[in-house]
Amino acid sequence: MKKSQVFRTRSDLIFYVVLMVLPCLQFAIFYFYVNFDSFALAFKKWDAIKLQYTWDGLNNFKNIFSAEEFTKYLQLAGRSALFGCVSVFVLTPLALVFSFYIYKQKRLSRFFSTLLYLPNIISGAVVSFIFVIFLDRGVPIIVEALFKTEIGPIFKGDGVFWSAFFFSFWFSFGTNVLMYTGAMKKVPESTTEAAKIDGVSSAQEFFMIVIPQIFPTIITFVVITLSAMFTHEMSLFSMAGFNVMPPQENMGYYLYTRTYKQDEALNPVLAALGMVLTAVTSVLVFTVRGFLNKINPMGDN
Amino acid sequence: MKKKTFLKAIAMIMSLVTLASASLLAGCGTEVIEKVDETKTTLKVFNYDAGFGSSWIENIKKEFEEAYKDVSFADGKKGVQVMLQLDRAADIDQLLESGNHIIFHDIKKLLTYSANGQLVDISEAVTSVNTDGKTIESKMTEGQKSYLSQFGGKYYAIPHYESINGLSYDVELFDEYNLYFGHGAENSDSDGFILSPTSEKSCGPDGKVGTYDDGLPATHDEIKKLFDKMLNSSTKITPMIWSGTSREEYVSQFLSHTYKALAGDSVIYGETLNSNGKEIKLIESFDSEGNPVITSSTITPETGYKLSMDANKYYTYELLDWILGDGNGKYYVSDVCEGSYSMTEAQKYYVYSAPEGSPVGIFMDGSWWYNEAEAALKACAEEYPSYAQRKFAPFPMPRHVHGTNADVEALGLDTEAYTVLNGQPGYAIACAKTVTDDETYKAVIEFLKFCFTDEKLAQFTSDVYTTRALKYEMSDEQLEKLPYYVQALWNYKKLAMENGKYHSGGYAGDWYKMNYGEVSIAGGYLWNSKVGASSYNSPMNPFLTTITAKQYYLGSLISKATWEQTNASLLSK
Repeated sequence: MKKSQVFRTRSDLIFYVVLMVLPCLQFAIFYFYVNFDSFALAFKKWDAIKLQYTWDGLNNFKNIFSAEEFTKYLQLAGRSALFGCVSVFVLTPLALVFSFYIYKQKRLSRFFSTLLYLPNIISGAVVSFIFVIFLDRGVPIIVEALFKTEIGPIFKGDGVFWSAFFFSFWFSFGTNVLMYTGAMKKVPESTTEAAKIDGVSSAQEFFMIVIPQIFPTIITFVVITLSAMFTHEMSLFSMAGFNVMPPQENMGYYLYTRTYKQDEALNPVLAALGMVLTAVTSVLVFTVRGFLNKINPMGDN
Repeated sequence: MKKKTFLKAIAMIMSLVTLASASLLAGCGTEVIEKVDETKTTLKVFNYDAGFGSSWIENIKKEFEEAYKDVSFADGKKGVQVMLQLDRAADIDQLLESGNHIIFHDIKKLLTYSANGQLVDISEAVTSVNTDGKTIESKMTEGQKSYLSQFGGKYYAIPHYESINGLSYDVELFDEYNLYFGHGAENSDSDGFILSPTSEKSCGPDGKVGTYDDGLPATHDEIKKLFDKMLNSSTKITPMIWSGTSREEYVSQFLSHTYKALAGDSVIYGETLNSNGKEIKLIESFDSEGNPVITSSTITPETGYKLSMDANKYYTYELLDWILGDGNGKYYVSDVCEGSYSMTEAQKYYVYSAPEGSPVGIFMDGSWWYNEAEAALKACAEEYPSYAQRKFAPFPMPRHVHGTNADVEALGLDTEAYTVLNGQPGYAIACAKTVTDDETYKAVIEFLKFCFTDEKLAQFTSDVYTTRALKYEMSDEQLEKLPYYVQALWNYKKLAMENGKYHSGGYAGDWYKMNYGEVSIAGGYLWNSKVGASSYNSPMNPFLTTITAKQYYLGSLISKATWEQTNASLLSK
């Protein structure tokens, strides 16, 4: 398209520039500058006497890969990866099946649609708070009433991690279902009509028509899930604040809480850890995306 | 063409509305909306609105504006307009850029801000004689002066509020159930507790009969006996309660309080790295039966790592581990303490516990709790008129681990004063970014001086039911009007300050900075440990599991090699 066709008049160009200046500035400051600053911090250390950051080379990276610390980071990453894998291999297929059910407008599909999306209408922090109160105070009352057994607060010990795991799974489920339902609605009606005429079953329609048609959306969601794997803290902080024990922390929670404490000595290590995780995530995301594009029934996206 | 222009205009307006709403509605808190009076000097003041609230600063605002209504800080202007911003969740880094002139808040990175020139030198306010005939500096302890003036002798902050973290106990409950230790066999039952309310009480932690702490446990052994006595009372009393959501934070402060009571003056070695030839008891290992092997050592910079092996640290952990009992909930209200109860919910639970027949003896929270619980106390008093005048008081921690009050009394009086730790010191600071001209600077200085007269400090205590982190006087008349808890807190803290037993804030000195308080009570890392592959900031949650005090203690020890590596630059001097 020629420039003259985009900006017919000078005023068009001025209007466009004025509109774009602020978002571009925001992007430059809050994305480029912030990340550049973080990358630079990864090569520094905090001088507690001079009260400033000084150059420290690769020592932060050496610290991360030291025998003592590496085990800890591996465990944190492992717990994050567990949720990531469950999201991709369990949540995604389940969400697709539920979405198809809603897309086909089967019985009570609107009710399920509303129910699944309800948690997303209210603030996540509020929902997680209500969830914890329910676990700690509601469930024990229900259990005592039904089974005459006294149980204490559930949200403690090992229960913290698995409660947060379940909550994040449930909270993400609604969003996934709605997004996939929206994508399914874009499947041309003529295709599904023709399939119906040819006597295709629901299962066949799901696997051979709908899934291929929305495969680019699936790829997008899988890529987004994987790229956020190590920053996703599973609402642990909303639910438990600083009371999560190390064996239940995941990487997202660890990064969030340690950054929150504004420990100047730790910040460079966190910055270096962030760089390492970025490298790992980049390789993973591009590999998975490449693989998914290769198996895309509709061809490479 | 007209339609296109119209659409462009709509797009612009919508963008501006979105931008405006995003920027104006962003951020929480309350700004007292006032129109700026150009005929007066404007002073913008931020107050951290949690715990102690903001009624005190609102009163000061009115009084200062009235007192200075005819004072001119600049040509063409007369008087001062104080504009308040009140918030509970503001970040200091942001506040320093937010346009405020003065900030009253927790300031954890005080040294960094001072070193980076982000704060105004307010020495003039601190060192000049105020309307009460004193300087603010004269109201500080030696420790505070040393810490706050470490940048070339200049002051960049004034101690503001304090939170004496530790325990509070229900005096009436203790009176009703005779939960005091008796003095001698003639005043005690078989377990050592008073026979009747009129029995003479034991010496308490200070080792002297006839003082504030009479009858309270003089050793950790006696605390354990007291807790068991509570459980076996005619009405079962649960010994302790605290907020589940804040348990990590509060227990760290409780540990510091307990540790300092045991360690006494030797805690200063954590900053000076010099015990001047005096030895401290260390636990470096345990025997085959799990008993600590006690040695002793002097402290020098080269042996500073041995402070991590202070035996008193182990006994502090051991007491907490005993109380928590691997999470069995025996000595505490498990639903509240391990669950999702907030600090205000825990306060309410504690206040209502005795009237509702499930009494709890001791509450773990900062000294702000009484102010925060005001609504709950009032509501409880209305519902249960016989509980209208409650008596709570600070619970001083023992200075010895083993033995009885008789053993402590036999040691002779140490001092009546208790070790008081200001666990969360707040400060008043002025922002260098906004105080850039003479007019504002003068107004800031006058305002700060106004806030810190004895009269205003006493008024704060009267209004907010808690003490300030400075030495000041209150009249008998003012004290009589205070609730029992606040009177007790006042005496408790005053005695500590007068006897050099009050500790607040950080330390000056490179050793403290370099080790971030890993061996110092003022630091944030004293209670760190590593058990297995897991690092912990506080033993509260680990002790609710099967991790023992011994494991946690051993995981907190600093090796000689680590110490030498961390402090290489200081050791080479």
